[in-house]
Amino acid sequence: MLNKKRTKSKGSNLVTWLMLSPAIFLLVVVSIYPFLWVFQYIMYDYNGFSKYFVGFDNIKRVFSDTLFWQSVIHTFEYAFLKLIFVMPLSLVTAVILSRKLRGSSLFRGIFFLPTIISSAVYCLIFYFIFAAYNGVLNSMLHTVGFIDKPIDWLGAPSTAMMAVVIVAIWGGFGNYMILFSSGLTSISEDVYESSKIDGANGVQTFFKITLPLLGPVLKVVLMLAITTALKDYQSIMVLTGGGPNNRTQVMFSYIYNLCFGNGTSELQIGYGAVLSVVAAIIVGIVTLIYLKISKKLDDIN
Amino acid sequence: MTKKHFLKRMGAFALVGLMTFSLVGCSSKDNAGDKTGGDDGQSSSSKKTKVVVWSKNSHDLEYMTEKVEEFNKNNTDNIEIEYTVQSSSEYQNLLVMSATSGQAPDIFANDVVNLNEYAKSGIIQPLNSFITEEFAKVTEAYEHKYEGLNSIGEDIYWVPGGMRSGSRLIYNVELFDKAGVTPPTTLAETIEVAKKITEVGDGVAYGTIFPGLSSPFERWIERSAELSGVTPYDYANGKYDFTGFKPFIEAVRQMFEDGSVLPGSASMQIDPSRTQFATGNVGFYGNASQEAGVLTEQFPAECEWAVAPLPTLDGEIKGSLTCSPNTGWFMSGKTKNAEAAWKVIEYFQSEEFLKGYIEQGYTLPISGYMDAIVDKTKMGRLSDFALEEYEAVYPVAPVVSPAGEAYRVALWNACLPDGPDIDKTIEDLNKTYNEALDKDISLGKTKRLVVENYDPLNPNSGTVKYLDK
Repeated sequence: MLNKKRTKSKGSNLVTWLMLSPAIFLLVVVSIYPFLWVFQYIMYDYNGFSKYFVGFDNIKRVFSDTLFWQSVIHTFEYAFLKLIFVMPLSLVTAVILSRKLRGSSLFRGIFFLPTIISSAVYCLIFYFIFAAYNGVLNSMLHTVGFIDKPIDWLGAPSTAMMAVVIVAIWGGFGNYMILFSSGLTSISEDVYESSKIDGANGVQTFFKITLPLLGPVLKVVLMLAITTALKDYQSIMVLTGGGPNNRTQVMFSYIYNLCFGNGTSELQIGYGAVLSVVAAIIVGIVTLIYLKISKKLDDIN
Repeated sequence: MTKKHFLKRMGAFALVGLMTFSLVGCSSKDNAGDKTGGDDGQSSSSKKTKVVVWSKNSHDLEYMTEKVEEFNKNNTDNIEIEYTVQSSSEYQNLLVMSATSGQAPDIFANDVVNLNEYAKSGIIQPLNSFITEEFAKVTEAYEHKYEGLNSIGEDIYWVPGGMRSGSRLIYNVELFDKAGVTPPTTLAETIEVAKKITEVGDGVAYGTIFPGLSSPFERWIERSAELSGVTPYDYANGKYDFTGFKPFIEAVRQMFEDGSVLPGSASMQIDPSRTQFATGNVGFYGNASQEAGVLTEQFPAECEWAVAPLPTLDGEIKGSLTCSPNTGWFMSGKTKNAEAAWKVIEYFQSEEFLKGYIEQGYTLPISGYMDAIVDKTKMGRLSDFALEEYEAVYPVAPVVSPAGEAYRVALWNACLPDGPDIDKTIEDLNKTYNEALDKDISLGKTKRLVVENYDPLNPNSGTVKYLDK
């Protein structure tokens, strides 16, 4: 009997591994191998053709590279501004739409649309909306009399980050809304019914029932949102290219320019490799801190 | 094992097998697709030798497509050209990636590349052994050798079939008349003229424009500085020196502060900035001869426009203006069809092909031979950009990897009204570029270029020396 059980578990183990093999293969090839590949260039000046040994020069340069540390600060500023708006907005929308009002699935579809559009495409559209000269936003504000001369939304240091964050919120909000919606469906109707009988109003229900019961989902969604926000750079590349004067330069756009060039200087893949590791460590530390703090969210009771 | 279990397990195996098969299936299909690139190019159905050609130019696409079709139909060597235009901003990345993965095109259009590295890594090969007498007669290949740009020592890697003029001041005649001004010749006048045009522009038209996201510094400011004798590299002393750029940066910043620059310039790409000029909203801007085609075909100008020399520091021309040899073709060092590839290059640079190309206004003639035979009346507005006495091809300054911003980015940032301190920017650039030069020389990456008896008005006249320290 025992013997039979062992054979069975061995067999199902094999099937499990076979089932997992395509996923593992892809993980190794597109995630783990490239990450390890980066390490071989850390001690080199590498321009894509030849590598020259430079010892610890690349690592020493990290500490004196003010532009990089500035971009780290911009990354946190961007992530913070994005999350502080996108999270409550998508949660509240999900809760409202879960009430099964008329047209709620239509709205859910509309809000989800940005997620399936390429970010390069909607950023280009926003580029025209924000355009200083003949832009849609400026002409609207001008018509209602809020401004008397055009504002250079993407070209002025005071407004560029705000503009980029608005686009990020617009692009990300539908995705998180759907995740929250699916979390909400797992909360039993009975709980809501009994709270209704006890006389709880909408706000009380939200804070005392919905939010605590959504804890585990909230934890995962928040973690995803934090890491995504820290790694965002595609929309920034399209909207501002990191400018003006590096005002919207974030960690990964800075690294991208070093490794793939912006057409103005030699590629510095070795130094870019060091910074990618540093950036990975920074994102890792933030995630760890978050996981530690958020342990409470797991505890539904 | 029960029958049910057995069936279940077989089902699982079949599923895994199917998935693996589909993965392998996808990849083998991709491989088959790739073969058109670097392999022997023998297409089994027609037995034609395929020559894969890449370009980064889209402005001449119509002419190129027509000529490629003509060649594919009429050539007697059984060669078929597969012509692809790649993204110009990713062109070099694509080239390097395709070359390192064995999928490089057989020939590809010239670009300003790190020629030493391309040659050393075998991405390209010298063309000397292919060049025929007829080819040399039409292109004057041996006279148009530019060290580090298209040749290394005696080895020629691409032969220019044309020349792009240096930058000019392109201006809106109607706005100039309305403001009662003439094209500025000094920096001080430039600021004044921009201001006057903005005043008569009524909030619709502005003095000038810069494509903030598309190399604004390189297109205009750097060229005005060159004409005033200021270059990033000090050829006489063999080091980088950005000190001379200060007044130029101050002038641009002044125009921004005066409100004379079209709003939104700082975040503008090149094409939106061109449409603004074409619509008649901009007084003047600086750019090179490709604008002739842009303002007549791509974005036909609704206003009357003309061309003048770029303004200089004090109105005097003290240095040469960079013009760029172009319309040349590299041959891949890894091509298996070198003979066929050369036949295609020969065709692209034949008298008949170049005559049509130049007369369509895509480039200016570089060789005396072509200059004599083209009908300049057919060149359209390109003739406004005819090469001037003061234009020259500068020796290529050593390529370095500074531990900081590239100079064109840093100096442009300093031009912005809220940009960093100008003096500090220049000081930092002098430091990072010269430290990088010293380091890269010691690593054996590059050599120090010193031109003895250097004359900025004639940058190729001195004695060129490459030093190891």
